[in-house]
Amino acid sequence: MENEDLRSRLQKLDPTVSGVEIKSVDEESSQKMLETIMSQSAGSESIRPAWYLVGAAAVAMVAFGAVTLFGGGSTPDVTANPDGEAIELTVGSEDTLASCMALTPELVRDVPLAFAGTVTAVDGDRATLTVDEWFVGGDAATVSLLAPSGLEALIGGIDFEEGKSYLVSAYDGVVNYCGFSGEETPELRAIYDEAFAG
Amino acid sequence: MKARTTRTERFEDIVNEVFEPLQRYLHRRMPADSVDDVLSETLMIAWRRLDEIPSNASLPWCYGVARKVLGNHRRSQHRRLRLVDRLTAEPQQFSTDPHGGDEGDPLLEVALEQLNDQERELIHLWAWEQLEPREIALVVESTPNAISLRLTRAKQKLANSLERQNRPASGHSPDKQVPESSVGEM
Repeated sequence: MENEDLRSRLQKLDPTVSGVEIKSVDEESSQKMLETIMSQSAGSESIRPAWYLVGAAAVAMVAFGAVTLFGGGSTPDVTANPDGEAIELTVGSEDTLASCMALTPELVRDVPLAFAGTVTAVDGDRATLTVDEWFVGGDAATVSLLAPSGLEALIGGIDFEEGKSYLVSAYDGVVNYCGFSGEETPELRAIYDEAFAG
Repeated sequence: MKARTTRTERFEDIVNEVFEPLQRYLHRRMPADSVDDVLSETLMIAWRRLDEIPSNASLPWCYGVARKVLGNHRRSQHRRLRLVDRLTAEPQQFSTDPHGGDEGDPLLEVALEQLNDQERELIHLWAWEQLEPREIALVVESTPNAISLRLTRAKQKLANSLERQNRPASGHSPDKQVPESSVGEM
């Protein structure tokens, strides 16, 4: 079979030929999406933001305390035990809330684990954070984030730097990225504060 | 301020080029109700990594990002369903084919089923997105030579499979053939 015959035959199997809704960039909803995207980075003049999306899977271990996550699929069983075993969280590629668009206090409010912390050490593929405040999900004093592929990996994680403060949330044992977790900024802090107010 | 304007203008130019093709790319590979989420995440990454986007290959670059975001999304869906399974103890299926059941070309569909995932992806990028090997290489992070070779093999595998199906055994209807009964030769 000739190349073009095969291509033509394959194109008839293209699901979009049977009619799917393709939005124009000029549509109001499209423009709103783009405005949101561009406004989220408007505060940064740098080419690369302080934290950025990376795609490699990473593993986070909560150390010096235990956090029971996701008890029964809704609210977490918030228990902490200084003598308990560390648990593992996945960071990055399997983020169940992987969306950069709809960061709202309502969404953040639903996460079973969230804390504010300061990076005290970055060593190779590991970043250690001292927890400044637990919003929900535990009371461990320190959180250790381990990124097997390296903290400087590509799409999906967070660039942790020593001395900087971060807001981190996790869902179903997975640290959320892409807006939900990141370096502490007034904007992100306001969302967390509103989410966990009262 | 001028730099920001330039940056914004460049992003808008890229968006004008990729906005609709990206939607088609996603609609071909995922349920329609999740397309907006993956599209917006892809464009968010494009906005943040604007300076990394090659000027002569914006669309393949964006396909490459969309491919990764889509992979994340699929894994998330699997995780969610596994959780639901655990909670309900009722196994559920996650379909990776959002358009299953469409009428089409049964012989070709059988032949496609006999490809592995990587081969099928190359074939789709070639036929549906109409990309050249060097562009596909950018999407899947490989080299043009390697893609060229793999694509040629995948096409040959498809052609062989179609040929086999066009030579039905007596009394055997080719469009009722079950994929698992014949495996690609190459």
